[in-house]
Amino acid sequence: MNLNRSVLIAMTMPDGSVQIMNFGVVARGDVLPSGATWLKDEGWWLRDPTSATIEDEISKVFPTGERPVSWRRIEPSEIKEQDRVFRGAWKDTGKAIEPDLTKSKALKADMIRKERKVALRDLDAEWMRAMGQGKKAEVEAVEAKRQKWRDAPADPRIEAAQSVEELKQIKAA
Amino acid sequence: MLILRANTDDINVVTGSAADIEVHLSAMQADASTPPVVQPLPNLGPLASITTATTTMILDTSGITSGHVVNVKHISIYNNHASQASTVRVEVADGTATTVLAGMNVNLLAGESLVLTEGGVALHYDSNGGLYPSVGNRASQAEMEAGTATDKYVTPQGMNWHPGVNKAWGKHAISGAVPQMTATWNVTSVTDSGVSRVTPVIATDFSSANYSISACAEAATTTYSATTTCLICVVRNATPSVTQFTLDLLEIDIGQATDPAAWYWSALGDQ
Repeated sequence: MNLNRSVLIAMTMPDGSVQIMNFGVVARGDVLPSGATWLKDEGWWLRDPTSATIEDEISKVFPTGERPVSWRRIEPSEIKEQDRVFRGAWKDTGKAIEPDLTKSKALKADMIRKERKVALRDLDAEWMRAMGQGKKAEVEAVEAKRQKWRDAPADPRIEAAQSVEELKQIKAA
Repeated sequence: MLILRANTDDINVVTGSAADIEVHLSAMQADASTPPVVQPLPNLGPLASITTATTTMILDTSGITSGHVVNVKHISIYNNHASQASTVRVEVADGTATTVLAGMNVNLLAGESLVLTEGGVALHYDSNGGLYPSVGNRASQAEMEAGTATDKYVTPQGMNWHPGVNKAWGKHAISGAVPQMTATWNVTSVTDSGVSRVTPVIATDFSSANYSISACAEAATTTYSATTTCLICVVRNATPSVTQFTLDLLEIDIGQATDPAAWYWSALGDQ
């Protein structure tokens, strides 16, 4: 039997990023959390998501250091990017949790750089082999591919994108 | 069996709360002859319910001929209150000294009973008529934490105190784009702290940040390759506190953060 139930809390951090807490409303353990009561089913407790219990939970998520500047309860449907590709760019608009386009563009370029690192490793090996074997045409072809990767993070399509969906369609090479 | 000296020894019930305690007592009287001759029964009731925190004499031998004996066969004490519990203590008093009868000093919850049998055994019944188990040999928290006793038994709650038992665990499947409280023990929340990063909060604080965390992740694909499934799950540096910790997941090949299908973790330590 699993009675686990929770609600979502969106917490906006000082840098504008957002963290999403799944706040346990029904869960189990041997000790009651603050503000909770035991359910009839032994070991399970119920805790209403009041301002007091949520604030208390936030203080446990952030025992030291930066704390959220604001929080609000959200519905699952308010999270707009289900595939989390640009999770690092999520922000709370007050009506939805969705990626910030400017931050997403920077993330896209960074993703391409990481892909490039792996691609160049293989291309470098190909280039060395072709060079060693004196295959000039092949050397030039591999070099062209390498240059394409070098230019990829600065692909003008990234800056021109009007939505995160357009960004997701851009392939580096 | 309980034998009292007539005109000297009495039995009192001491109640600690204003419940509704009903007492029944069975006894017989004998004289000092050899062999003893059974005498008419003393007037033992019915006794009025005890509804205050007080001391009530339930067997008064003052009217019985001195030198006779009173043989108490049975005492039944029942808490008839709907909700109020009360401590109940049964004592024998001779006007100078008072002695609490063995096993007859308990907290009677609503609907519970305390019985002294003819054999002198005290029995504590719950509201369903079930006998309370012996708790004298139950392992305490300190004994569970020491983990060395061989003459104690473990209760379901006591299980949580042993150092070799997980104090908290969780499975957080990614659903609706955020990690869920899919299945947990002793966890109050899980926070999606960023890209491939979660922070569970433990319901019962650890006694320090020095506890052990085991964690892993379920890959989000079955198409294995160096760049999609060479995952490493780590405890984020310096995050463990008595209440929470943070896990990160990395594709080790290119250092790219990646989201799993689910997070799994457990924690052992002293609480």
